[in-house]
Amino acid sequence: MKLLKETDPRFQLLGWRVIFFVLMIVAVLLGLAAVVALKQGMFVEKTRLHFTATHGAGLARGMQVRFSGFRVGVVDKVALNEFAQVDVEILLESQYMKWIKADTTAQLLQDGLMGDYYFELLGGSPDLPVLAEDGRIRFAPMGQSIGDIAQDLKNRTLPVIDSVQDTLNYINDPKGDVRQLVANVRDLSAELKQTRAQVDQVLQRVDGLLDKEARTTLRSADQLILRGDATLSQIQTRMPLIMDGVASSVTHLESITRDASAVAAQLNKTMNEVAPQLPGLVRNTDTLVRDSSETLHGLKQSWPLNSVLPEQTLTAPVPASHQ
Amino acid sequence: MRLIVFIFTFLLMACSSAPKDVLPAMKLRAEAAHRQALSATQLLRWHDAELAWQDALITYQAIDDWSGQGMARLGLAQTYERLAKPEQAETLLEKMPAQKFFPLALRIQANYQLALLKMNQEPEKARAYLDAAHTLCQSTCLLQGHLANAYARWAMQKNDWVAVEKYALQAQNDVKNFPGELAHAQRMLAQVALQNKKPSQALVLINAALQENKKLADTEAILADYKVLRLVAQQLADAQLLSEVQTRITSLCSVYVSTQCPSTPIP
Repeated sequence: MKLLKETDPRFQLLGWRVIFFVLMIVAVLLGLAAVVALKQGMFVEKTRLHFTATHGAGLARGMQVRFSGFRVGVVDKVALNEFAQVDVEILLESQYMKWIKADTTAQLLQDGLMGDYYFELLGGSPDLPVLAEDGRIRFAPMGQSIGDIAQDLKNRTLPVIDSVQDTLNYINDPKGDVRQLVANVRDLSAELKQTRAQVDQVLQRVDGLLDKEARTTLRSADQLILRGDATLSQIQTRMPLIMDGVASSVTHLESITRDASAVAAQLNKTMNEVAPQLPGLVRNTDTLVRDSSETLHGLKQSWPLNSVLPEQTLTAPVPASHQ
Repeated sequence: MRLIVFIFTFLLMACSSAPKDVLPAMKLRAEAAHRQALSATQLLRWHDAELAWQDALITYQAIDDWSGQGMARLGLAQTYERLAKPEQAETLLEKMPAQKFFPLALRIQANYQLALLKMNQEPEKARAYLDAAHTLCQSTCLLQGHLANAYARWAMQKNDWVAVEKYALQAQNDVKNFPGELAHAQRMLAQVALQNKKPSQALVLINAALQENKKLADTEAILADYKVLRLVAQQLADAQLLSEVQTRITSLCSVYVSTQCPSTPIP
């Protein structure tokens, strides 16, 4: 009951105005809620599907389910079953169910390197029937994570570094094969030169010997001519053959000498090409070691290693008084 | 969310590990050689230490860094002493005490190291170096305990057991931060107790010293402790302890080459 009569026109129908304002606010809020629900797909008909994952890492309710990169549903439930595996239930918008078949596979993927996890639906043979409500699809675990990639990289890199180190040690080893090979090549080259000189001497002797034998044979031939025509004709037929054989032997020996000389020259050339590279290799190794040392030193100065490995103070060591 | 954490962590790392100013090449070389020398000295790799200290000395000298040069001289002298080259060690150190370009602490240490070098062959010179170090060493000098031990060692050579006790007790109070020096002082006090025919007291002292030296894994000091412990066992007429000590000394000497071993067997 009003105690006073309202005369100010600004306060007339104030109650109705307040009710109208409140109703307007409620209507706006309901409208907003409806729009959000619509955007979230609450009014879209959904189909529930199941699959079993081997591990629950990264799985959570509300995760997106995508098909060909489009969002087609969400994960509704994640639970550990009695076989210590993870039962996953997903809700898929029914309009996309036409592509979901019995051989469809859900694969766990990640947005970029550090992004959220989501399921990507793959496969679906066109000749298979569409999966029904509460149908079961397959699960494929996630590919390589950053940790796996880093571990893989480490596994691949460390043997390479060890191998390079081993190779350098092998090359630098004074008793190793490479050093021995170079030394042997040098020795062989010297020995081949010596052999060639000896072959030259042998050839000179052979020439002298042949000359002597030919004279003796001619003298014998003269005597034989005197003895008989038959013998002479026999000698005449044999002499050219003998001379051809001797000439062939001399040619063959010269050929061998030329070959030996060529081999020696080739070996000398190879040695001359290889030898200058060895100091360079050693210098490069030294640079590599220095670079590695500087990198390690730099790493030690970086957070968080600089707090674990404090920099060494430069002092003079004090000898013990009992020494 | 993960992206935010990643960016935050990246920024935190970037802020917390700002690159340091690049030092000049010669300074870098000197400090690198110095670090290498310290590392080799700690690992008792004396030949490596010799090369590294020489490099550090030359480089510090080339950039007119007297402090670095002094530290390199002291380190190299200690290495020479370990490599049985005492003359070279003395040559390196002999001008250091008088050269005021070197920091005072290094000049004191030079006197101390010279005294140790001369201790066995020329004890009078050793005493002079010790006195010079003592004169330079003020009340806050870090080497007071070392000097007191060196004085006690000098007094022991003179068979002045009263002085040994006095200096060793003084050292015991001054070397709280140097367990090796504390153990040396305790060993000398044990020897004093043996002289005073107090083997039980000597046993307690030498066991304490042995415990410290085992923690430090200083074989030379452990051998010296066992030699004193052997005398204690003889005074106590404890055959079991004597046998145990003898076994330990034999075991140590079978793998460690030392002048304290009866001979120097090669394992």
